[in-house]
Amino acid sequence: MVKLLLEASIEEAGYPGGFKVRNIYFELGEGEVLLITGRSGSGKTTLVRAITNTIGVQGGFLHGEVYVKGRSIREYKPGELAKRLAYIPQEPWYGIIGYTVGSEFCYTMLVTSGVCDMRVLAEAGLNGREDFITYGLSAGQTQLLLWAEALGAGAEVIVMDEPFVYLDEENRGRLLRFAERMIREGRGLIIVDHNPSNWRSLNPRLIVLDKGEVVYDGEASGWSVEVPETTVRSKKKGRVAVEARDIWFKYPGYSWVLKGVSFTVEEGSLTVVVGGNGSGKTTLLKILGGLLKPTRGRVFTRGRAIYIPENPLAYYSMPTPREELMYMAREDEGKFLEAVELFDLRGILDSKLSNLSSGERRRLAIASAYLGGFDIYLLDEPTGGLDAYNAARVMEAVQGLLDEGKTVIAASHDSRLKEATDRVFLGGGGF
Amino acid sequence: MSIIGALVGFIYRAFFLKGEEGFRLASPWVKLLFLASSIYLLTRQGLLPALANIATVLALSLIWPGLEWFTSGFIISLIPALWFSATAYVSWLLGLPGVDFTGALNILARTISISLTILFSASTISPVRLSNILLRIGAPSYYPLLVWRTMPYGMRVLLDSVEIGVMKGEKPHKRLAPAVAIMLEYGSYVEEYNWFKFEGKPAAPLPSRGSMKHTLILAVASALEIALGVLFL
Repeated sequence: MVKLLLEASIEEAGYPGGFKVRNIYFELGEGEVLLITGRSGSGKTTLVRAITNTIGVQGGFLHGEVYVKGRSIREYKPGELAKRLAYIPQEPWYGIIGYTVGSEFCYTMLVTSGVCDMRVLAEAGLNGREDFITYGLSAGQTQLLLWAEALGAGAEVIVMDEPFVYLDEENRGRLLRFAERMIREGRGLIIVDHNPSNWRSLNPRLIVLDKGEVVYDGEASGWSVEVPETTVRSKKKGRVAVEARDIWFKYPGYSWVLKGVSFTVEEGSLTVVVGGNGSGKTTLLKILGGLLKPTRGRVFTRGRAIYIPENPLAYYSMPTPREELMYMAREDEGKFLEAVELFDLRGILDSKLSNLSSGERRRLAIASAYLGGFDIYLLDEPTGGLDAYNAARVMEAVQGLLDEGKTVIAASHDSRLKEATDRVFLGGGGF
Repeated sequence: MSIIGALVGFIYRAFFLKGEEGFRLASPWVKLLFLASSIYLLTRQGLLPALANIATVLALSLIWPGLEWFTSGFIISLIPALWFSATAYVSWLLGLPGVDFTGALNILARTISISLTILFSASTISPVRLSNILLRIGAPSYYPLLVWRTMPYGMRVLLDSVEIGVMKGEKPHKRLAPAVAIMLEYGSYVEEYNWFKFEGKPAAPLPSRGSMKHTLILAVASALEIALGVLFL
């Protein structure tokens, strides 16, 4: 008989006067996998916060109970709960407080299990990196470090939020093998992923959320969803918009990130830069935009370029979408309304930027840049972590740019983006 | 790259480029001895003691943290040094209270010397050892780790925001708000995902290594500075 690791009986969980999830009941036994999916804003994160007892940190509440190994999560001391239930967030870098790999790992171990056994780092492929600064780790390496902490603490339930978003193919394979090992060892996995097909091989139980309610609960194979079309059509003009000639780059204290990268991009096209973790995709975009100066080589651009980072909060200048768009439209009401329609932003104009979803933030940034009259758009992971519906909406925004003859270069791990265009620049060898 | 971008880069290289290695592993007592010997040398009058201290700190910095620290540390130190010496000299040229050319050189060398000593000493602080001291006195021991972890992130965010502002044709001061917004969001997530680390307490101090080699080098440098101080008396 399968031993029960976690039991959730959630009548309601959420934020006072805000979003709530309701009537969610499930159990997780040894060696079992529970996959939670749903559109952005469906309640996945709220549910994870309720399970991991972090909802209170965000000012939320939980009506109901979550039991880990038969004991309410509210009864555990913080270190005790973390020893049994590990949480690996979508943005793994937020889950780290240590400045070196060793200090981060040992601090967590000493809080959870009371001893620090560095050998676990080797199991996660981080041996020899104990003194390495965590700021210099790639997203994949950061996730491995969190995995090592979960392993070291001996966590029996591991909760992962969108674990594939920042991983390249190689690290995805590694993570999948890691998950298989966890299952064989009798641990339970709760995985939140907008794309359930990523985990088909683990034969998970699937819970689909919509507007805070469960709309499907059963075998993953028994559920399907219509995936919106994401293909874009370029309107190439035949002229070169961007030319990179023999670009070399290294950050201080690190080895070469880019080695002799050369390519051209046509005006009015979408080019997707793909490559492994730490291969220099973001660095390349920043160099194309002039944010970084190449150590060697030159970049030629026709027109003005704008860089939109993965978290577009760094892009905005104003506190609300309406003010941002009006500011970029130079108070021209006609242009403002045109952008609102083109990028479908009517419903969020007066929201706080910090309350916007990832997809909304990205569409707003694209719209703002469009109003700024830029010619070349450098988008960093524009669809990362988005469900199919929201990714399609971002792609519609990109299509809007292409229809206006703009040039778009995106750096991405997302295979949907790669498949959406005919122009892929694959990093390899020198890149 | 803007001036702010370059400055942020220099500060990053001066403080956050390296992990738990090099002179961070030297004995804390020897680090204090070196600081004291530098101060002692700087109490001697004239240009030579200041130049001797600059040479010692720069030579040590080449051993660790390395050439990138050497150039960044020197440039950061040069900024206040040039400002102080040039204004004093120009003031003198205009007939106002100030110093002549030799005096300006003296100010330049002494400011560089003080600044480099502070930068180097700060670079040799070990957040791990600091964390263990805090644990011993019952204070939250994650603070030094978190500060050394967060500062480079914050600097990168500020830099990204400023550079995007340049692309948008905005003044750098306008870009502070987006950078603050990101850091607030960062703080909120870090608090959520690491709540058990903040509310829990490590069962023991973090393991920390020592480096006899770096302790010895720093001890020799301290002895040299004290000897030079006596010589310049």
